[in-house]
Amino acid sequence: MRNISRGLAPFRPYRNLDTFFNQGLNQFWANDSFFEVPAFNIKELEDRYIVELSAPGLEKQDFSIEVKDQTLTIKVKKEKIENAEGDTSTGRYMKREFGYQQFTRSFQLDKTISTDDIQASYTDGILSVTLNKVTNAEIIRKVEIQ
Amino acid sequence: MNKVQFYHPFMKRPDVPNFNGTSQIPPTNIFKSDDGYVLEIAVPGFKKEEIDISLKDSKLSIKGKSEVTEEVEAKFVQRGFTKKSFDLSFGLSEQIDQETIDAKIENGVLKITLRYKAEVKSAPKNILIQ
Repeated sequence: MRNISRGLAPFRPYRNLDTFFNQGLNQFWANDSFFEVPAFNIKELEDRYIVELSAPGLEKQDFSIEVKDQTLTIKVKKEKIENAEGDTSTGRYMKREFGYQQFTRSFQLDKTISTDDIQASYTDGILSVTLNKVTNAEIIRKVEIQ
Repeated sequence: MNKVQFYHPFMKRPDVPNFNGTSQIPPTNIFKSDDGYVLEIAVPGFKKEEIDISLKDSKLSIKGKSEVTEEVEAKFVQRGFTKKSFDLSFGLSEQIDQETIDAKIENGVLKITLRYKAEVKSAPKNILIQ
């Protein structure tokens, strides 16, 4: 089991390798938008965590968020792929530095996070997911049952 | 505009900004069509009021002001991006009609439409007889 105090961590099944790929290689490729996955913040507050994903240019319906086996998965698939002037324009991009069409990002949740009440919103190009911490009362109750 | 660069994987490409918070320059797409150009600038987290667009001497300046309103009690477990103030500018060619520029912001993307002047579009091409 993961360290409880960590609470919420990105899902990294191959941690060491992942560290290398995330930090080593990502630094290396940092300026290549090709390999880009959206940057995220995890904020901890007294009673909850907030995961923020920087993903400009999407629509609310492009996201699907699910929780299964204590794993939070955020998937994006752009339903309508169109250029800057809409579908009918014959123009082209001379320079393209951003534009997500598809990505998946997972976060491992430990038992101190409630999976019942998860809220998400998408404003100004940032997806915010709020995860509530399990209150002490619930943990105590569970101990008593055993 | 952009020069063609030799791609060398061991060297960082200075011209491509990124989202990881180290760059002050927001990522930008430039779209060209028969009517003109569309600039798409990624400004996640910015509101309409925080962005200032001005035009002077054929220079289009876009400024984003980030007012830090961080919740005091929030602690960052992971910080992958921050909202940073930025200052961008584009030189406009004579073909661009400076009167019809318009801009809108939607889902963290600032879209600026630059149109060609009417006379540029309809100007007949002169073909020289040699």
